[in-house]
Amino acid sequence: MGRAIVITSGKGGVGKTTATANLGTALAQLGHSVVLVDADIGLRNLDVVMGLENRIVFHLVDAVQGRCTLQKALIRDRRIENLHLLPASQTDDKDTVSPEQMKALIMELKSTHDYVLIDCPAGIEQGFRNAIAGADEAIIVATPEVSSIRDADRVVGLLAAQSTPTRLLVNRISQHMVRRGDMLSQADVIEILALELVGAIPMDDEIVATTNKGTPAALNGKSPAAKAFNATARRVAGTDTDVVRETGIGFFGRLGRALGLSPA
Amino acid sequence: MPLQQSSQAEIEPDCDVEDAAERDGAEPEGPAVTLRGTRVGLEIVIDARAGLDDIAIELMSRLEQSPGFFAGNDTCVRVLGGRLPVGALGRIEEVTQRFDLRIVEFGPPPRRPVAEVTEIERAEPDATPAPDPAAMPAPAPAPAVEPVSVPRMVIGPIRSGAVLEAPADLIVVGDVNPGAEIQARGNIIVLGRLRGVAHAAVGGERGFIFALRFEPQQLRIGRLVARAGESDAPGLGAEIAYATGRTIVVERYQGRLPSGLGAAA
Repeated sequence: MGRAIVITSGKGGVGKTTATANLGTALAQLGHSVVLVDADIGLRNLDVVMGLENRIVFHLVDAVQGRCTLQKALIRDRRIENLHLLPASQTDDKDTVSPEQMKALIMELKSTHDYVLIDCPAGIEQGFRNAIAGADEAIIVATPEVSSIRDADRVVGLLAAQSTPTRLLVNRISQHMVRRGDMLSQADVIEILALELVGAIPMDDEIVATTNKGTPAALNGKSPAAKAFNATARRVAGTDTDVVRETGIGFFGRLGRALGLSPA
Repeated sequence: MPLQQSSQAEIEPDCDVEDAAERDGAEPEGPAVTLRGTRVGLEIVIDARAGLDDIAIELMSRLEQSPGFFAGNDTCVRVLGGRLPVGALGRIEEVTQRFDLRIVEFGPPPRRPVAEVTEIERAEPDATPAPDPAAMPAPAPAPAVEPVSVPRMVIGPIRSGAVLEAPADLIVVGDVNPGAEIQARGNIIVLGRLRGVAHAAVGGERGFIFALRFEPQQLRIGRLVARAGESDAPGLGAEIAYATGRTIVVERYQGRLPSGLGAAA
């Protein structure tokens, strides 16, 4: 039986879909069988980021409503073994599917895959409730901005209410901005959200380029963000238990913090 | 000592009055007096349904079983089954003083219900209604007659969107994040950062808000509302907010309640 992990954030545009695509790719490269589920019904995106857009015949809603078998709706990624995508439908609404139906669907996918990564839509309405319904655990994506953290905090509260274990992925950290004091550091974000950190992804132009090409950055793994996604995947899989390295704060900053000289 | 701008606004009390004294009728049928050792000292549990003399005699005989053993200890007195009969407190004090015990706490038995919420005892009669200006560190707290309200203790962090309400005092162990709102009919104590909205003395006037770190979005005490000013840098260390006249004052916590708060009640 696999693990179902929902990737969520509350706020839009923080990198949920990118994180789902790259984490899924990285997990598959580690040899796990992975299925990515696009739960953003009506505004699907994951297929574009994965470059599988033109191969969609059936989608999640078809599978839920029994117009096709679940196997038929899954798109196999030809670049890596064991990576599949269950695309969302573009023409339905979020309330076409119920949380119970999602639960059953995720259950079925868990029986055939090691990891089911669910790409959650922004917001905390029906789409969010559907996406978290079948999830065993959650990864919150937050960028080091107050608006993102505020929304993430709200979502963490909602997940805690249904006791879903939650970890944090800090996205788009810009080292020089943190050093200048213009951006919250990874430590600031953790302190506010009080969550275990599962990964920290640096700001990286390569992500934009690869997203537009439909090739997840983690696939070839050379850029800083790709490396960070691969490290995150190892942490998710439990094969790498190292601590997430603090990005953006130099040795002396860490030393100062340890000695209580600079504000934490 | 950052002062905060304040303005008046109408705030309707929105939670019902809960009678703090209605937790009578606990389980009966026990000894009139029980002694227990706790981490902080001695705990004397008294069944209020026993007669005045029974209580005094039994307390005496139990303490005599090991005289000197408890001497000098901090002691808290817990009352089961309603209020003590009139005059009981004096008798109890008489006995405890003879054994060199110092009563530091007085209150109903602790209740430990729901998982997330623990209710703990009020440590000392404080600023609230007790018309007792001389409530200095006296050897024994006087107002035994007043029903002691039980604070609600919640483990944080209290996250954005959450609303906490408490019928009396509220203690939050952890941070109160921006977007969260905590309300209490009594005082509020935050053992963490206060970064959301805190409303003390809901439906009343007098109360304080204490936090280890003050960075609130808004403070309300009774009907007063204070917004965090643009330039207000968060003070270092614990601070306490209270109302004087028509303003809310935030000042550094000096290890005791500000004088205006204790005396003016």
